[in-house]
Amino acid sequence: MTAHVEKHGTTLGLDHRKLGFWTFLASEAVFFMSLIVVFIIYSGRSTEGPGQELLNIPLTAFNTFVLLTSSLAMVLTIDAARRGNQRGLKFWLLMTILMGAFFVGVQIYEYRKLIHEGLTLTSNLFGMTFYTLTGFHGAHVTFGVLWLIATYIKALQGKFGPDNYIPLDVAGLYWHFVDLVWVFIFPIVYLIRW
Amino acid sequence: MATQAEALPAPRVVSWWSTLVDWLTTVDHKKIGIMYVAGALFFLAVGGIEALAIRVQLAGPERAFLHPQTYNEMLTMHGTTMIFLAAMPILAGLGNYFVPLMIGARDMAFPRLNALGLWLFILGSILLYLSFFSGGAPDAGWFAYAPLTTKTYSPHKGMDFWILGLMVTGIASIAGSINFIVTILNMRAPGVKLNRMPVFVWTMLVTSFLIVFAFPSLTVAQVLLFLDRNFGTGFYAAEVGATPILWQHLFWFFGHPEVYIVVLPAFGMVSEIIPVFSRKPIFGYTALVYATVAIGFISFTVWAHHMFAVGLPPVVAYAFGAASMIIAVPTAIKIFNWIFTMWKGSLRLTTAMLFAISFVAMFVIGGLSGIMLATVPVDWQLTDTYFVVAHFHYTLFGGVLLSVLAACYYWFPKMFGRKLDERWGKVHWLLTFVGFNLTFLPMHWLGLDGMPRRIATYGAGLGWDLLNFIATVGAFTIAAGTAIFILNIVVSLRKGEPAGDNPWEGWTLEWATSSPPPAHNFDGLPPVRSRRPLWDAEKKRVLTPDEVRALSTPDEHVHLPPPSVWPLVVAAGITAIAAGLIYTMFVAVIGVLIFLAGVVGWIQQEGYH
Amino acid sequence: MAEHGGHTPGAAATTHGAHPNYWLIGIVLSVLTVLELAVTSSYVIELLNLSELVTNVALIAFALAKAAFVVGYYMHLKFDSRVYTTMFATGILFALLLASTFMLLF
Repeated sequence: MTAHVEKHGTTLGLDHRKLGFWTFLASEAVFFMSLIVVFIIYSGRSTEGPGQELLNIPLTAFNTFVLLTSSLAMVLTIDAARRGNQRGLKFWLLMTILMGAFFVGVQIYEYRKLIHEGLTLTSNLFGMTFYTLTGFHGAHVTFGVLWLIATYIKALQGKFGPDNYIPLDVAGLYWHFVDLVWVFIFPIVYLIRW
Repeated sequence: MATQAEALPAPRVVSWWSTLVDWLTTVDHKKIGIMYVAGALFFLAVGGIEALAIRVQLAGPERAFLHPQTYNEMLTMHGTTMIFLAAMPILAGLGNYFVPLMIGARDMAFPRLNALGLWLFILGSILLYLSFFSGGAPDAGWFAYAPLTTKTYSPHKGMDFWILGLMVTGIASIAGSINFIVTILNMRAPGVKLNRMPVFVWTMLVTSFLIVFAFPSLTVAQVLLFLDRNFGTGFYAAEVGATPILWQHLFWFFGHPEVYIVVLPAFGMVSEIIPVFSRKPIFGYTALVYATVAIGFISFTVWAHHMFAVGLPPVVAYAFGAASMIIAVPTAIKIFNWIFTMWKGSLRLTTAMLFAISFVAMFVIGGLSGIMLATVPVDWQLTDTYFVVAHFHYTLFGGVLLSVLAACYYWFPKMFGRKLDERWGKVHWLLTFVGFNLTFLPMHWLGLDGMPRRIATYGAGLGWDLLNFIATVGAFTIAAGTAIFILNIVVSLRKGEPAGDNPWEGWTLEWATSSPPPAHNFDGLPPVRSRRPLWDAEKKRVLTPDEVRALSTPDEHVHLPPPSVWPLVVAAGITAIAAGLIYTMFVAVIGVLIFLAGVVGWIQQEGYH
Repeated sequence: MAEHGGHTPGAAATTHGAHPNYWLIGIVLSVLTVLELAVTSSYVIELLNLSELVTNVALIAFALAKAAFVVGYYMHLKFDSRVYTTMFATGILFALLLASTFMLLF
């Protein structure tokens, strides 16, 4: 198998999965940019109903901090895997999952509160674009949490180590990308006054 | 796995059941390619029948063959089918079959993802066509302009099928493209450098990038439309302050690259066929490749030329018009490359070559009428007339379909070990070529004469009767040619002339293996030192199969991935989720469960990674 | 097959050799987030007499800085093959093309 890998394996010396995943992320970048642009061009065009002033900035700022820190936990997971530190791997992966789940939980709480205060998907253009953009991001976080849980189960079985951390690496790329998108959503949706 | 590949058994009797299981669970890029092509040809026939229905309706003035609503559905489904269910999958299929062979690889980079793409294409297409049995097909055109597609103007569920069916096939396209990109960049055999790759491989690479970057904006446009139709939002509703033009921008940001997504691989196929049947290397390989990349980039900067009539600011309109004219430059470079390749060559006018030459000629016509339409004031006169219909059929039928047919005749022997019958092939070519021009050439005059497109009928005495009738005759001529083509395939599969390894004396790597190739593609590869590995520079001819075999280094390390049912399960889950969003949430919940089961099975399966 | 490309000697050397201090980057990202909040707080705006334009430009700048840290260090593009960078940058290029044209048009 190894001889075969060297012969027919990878022309660029890169891992297939990572190369494919970066391509996928490039595609996702266009996807999220389209949603962000729709938010921006429709900002300030609502004809009625509540707007940005309803958003709870301190709460979301804390949530931003949690998501950023979960990215830190994710890189520490991969670092532990590379060193063969199984305990560290499992600990930091679990921390990533918990912080990701916390982020989603806060977002659900935020949605419920906003709906209670009168901002729904159909209230006005702000509601439509706000829920669509943050909703797609939240769905990506949720999917990421599920992915990481599946990875955690494999980690418990001791499947990862210095020789096999690429699956963790790819999951990490996804996780950081979702974080990256939030880095832009937070100022654009919450902080900039349109 | 190795034992499986080594012990190639003698022909054995297989039950239909095990054959079925074999094809449903295969991860072999060649079988997946064949299924893609078969599915695409089926939908090509369906789309063709829809076109015939349109032509029967328009054969004379004030005919009542189709109800106007049915006409709209036929029109929409004809366009949608031809673009998404025929052109794209047939290119994906031929690419699937031949890209790994041409770069000397065993398979695609992600065999199961490849199978997933196939099943998503097939199930998504079925979902789209279920609309006919669920209250009505999509009826607002393949471009689906808002607000015509909102609930007010298209109240039945047709457009929801359009949105979700195309989303499912869209996932397939993106998955397939990522697979192509990784395969082409990362799985080339030793010696196959980027600047030695066959032009077809280059065009598949560029097309894959276009898909990866263009489809997201379509997906966003469709998501917003779906929310508008089903959840009461108003992303395209002027009354809440939104702008319906947003749809057109999002759609054409995808839609214009899409034109090149389907035409670039067609260029690539012709660039393989013309040199082989001219007995000359392709003229200006480097220019051809750079032109391909240039077209890929520029294709993202021309989309608003579909929208000159919506009231763009003049500066914007002229900028997009200029970009549209600039894209003619790399395209013209290609045309000259093909002509100079044929110049002073020893042409062999096989059916494949006839189709390829017709492609060059017809595409020039389509390209020139495109430049006319890129001129903003001319476009204002001609927009929404039959001139536009004529233009894009010369590019898509004359461009994509003619070269795909050329490729079918060229590669059929490699795929099935037998040639398609050349005499019937030439009849097919003649009927197609004549029928095509009969159908679409008159549409130029109809358009200049002011006949609007997308109308279900027209009044008598407007001077459009004769030309419309000619177009209808032409459409049936094409249909006759296609019937001969299908018969030719069926008969040649069993009784065609045995092809041997290299019937056309081609020089790219797919001809270095047997026809059809074994499951592991190559027993050994000849050394690759140039763009034409099967060409002997000293003897000035193509190596014979025996000489190729003598040169090849045998490869002992054959590892083939095991078959997998999980791609089919995951695809079924995704399609069920999509169907559930249209019909009832209950189906979607079942879809989620199937999807999760499929994913778990996928992760757990041994033999990969 | 062939998923062990990351273990080729060259790639291993680059990924293991340079190891950023992840904790430090985490702190930098948090500080940048605090700065984002600062330039939007009415106290700071009055204190420094920030115009809306300055605030917004600062917000975008902070976001870009955070993004650079996440992509460069957490997603380790800085230490990985240039091919990944090119791939992702191409996507960003088309995304920016879409964004800039749409914002011009609407």
